[in-house]
Amino acid sequence: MAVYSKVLTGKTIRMRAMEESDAEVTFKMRNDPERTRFLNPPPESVEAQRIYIAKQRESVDGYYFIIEDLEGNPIGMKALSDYCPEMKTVESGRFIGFGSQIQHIEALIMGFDFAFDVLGVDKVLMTVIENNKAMYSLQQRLGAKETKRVFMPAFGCDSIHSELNRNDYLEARKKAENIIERFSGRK
Amino acid sequence: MNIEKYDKCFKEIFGDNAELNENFKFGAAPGWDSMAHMELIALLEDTFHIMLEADDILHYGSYENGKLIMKKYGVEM
Repeated sequence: MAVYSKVLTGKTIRMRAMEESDAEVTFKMRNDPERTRFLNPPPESVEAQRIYIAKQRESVDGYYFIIEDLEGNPIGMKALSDYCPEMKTVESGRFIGFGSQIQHIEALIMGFDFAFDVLGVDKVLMTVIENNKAMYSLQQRLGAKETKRVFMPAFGCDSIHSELNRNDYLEARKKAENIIERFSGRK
Repeated sequence: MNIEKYDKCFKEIFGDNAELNENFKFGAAPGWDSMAHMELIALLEDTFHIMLEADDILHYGSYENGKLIMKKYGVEM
């Protein structure tokens, strides 16, 4: 089972493995039209979402996290999928965030840290819809390098594929860490 | 003039070619992502010697709305 049993703890958020009991809250997240407009369609019901989570928990190559604030309130979800130990790669999967900008940055950082430090990959692969300018920009800012573009008929635009290697990430991570440090305690 | 300093902050983060108008918003303006957002806030705070509250950081959102938020901190444009 691709379930990471430890809780990842940052300065503004925690990330823990998604459970079937998270079906209702994650179903709501996946049905938020604003936050999910660049993502694939959600399951049709809470039960379908529960089945989806159960399936993901049994997969051998995907890690699905609930993002919580430090009070334990769910504020998003983050996936890492298609983990390939032989190739030492993993795909940075779906991210949905309802928190602050700082919490979103930290969630991505913690996801990349998990990929490089826990899974031990050499590269994190990522794909983003061309129209999702904020996410594309953030990926590049964190060190990712674009590799190709593929037209996506369902979205009427390209999907942009990028790769992030450890050295580029570590360099970019310093700036993100400074920002998190500066603003993490802000009320 | 505060507006010149304000615009200079945006240009420093988003580049000299940034078209600063009512359409310059998070997610729509090229390069305005979460990291750029926080770098902009940090630069504005340092430039105007203020400290924004979390809610104002969260809702900063656009070049124009930002002017209204700055006003709360005594920075008139």
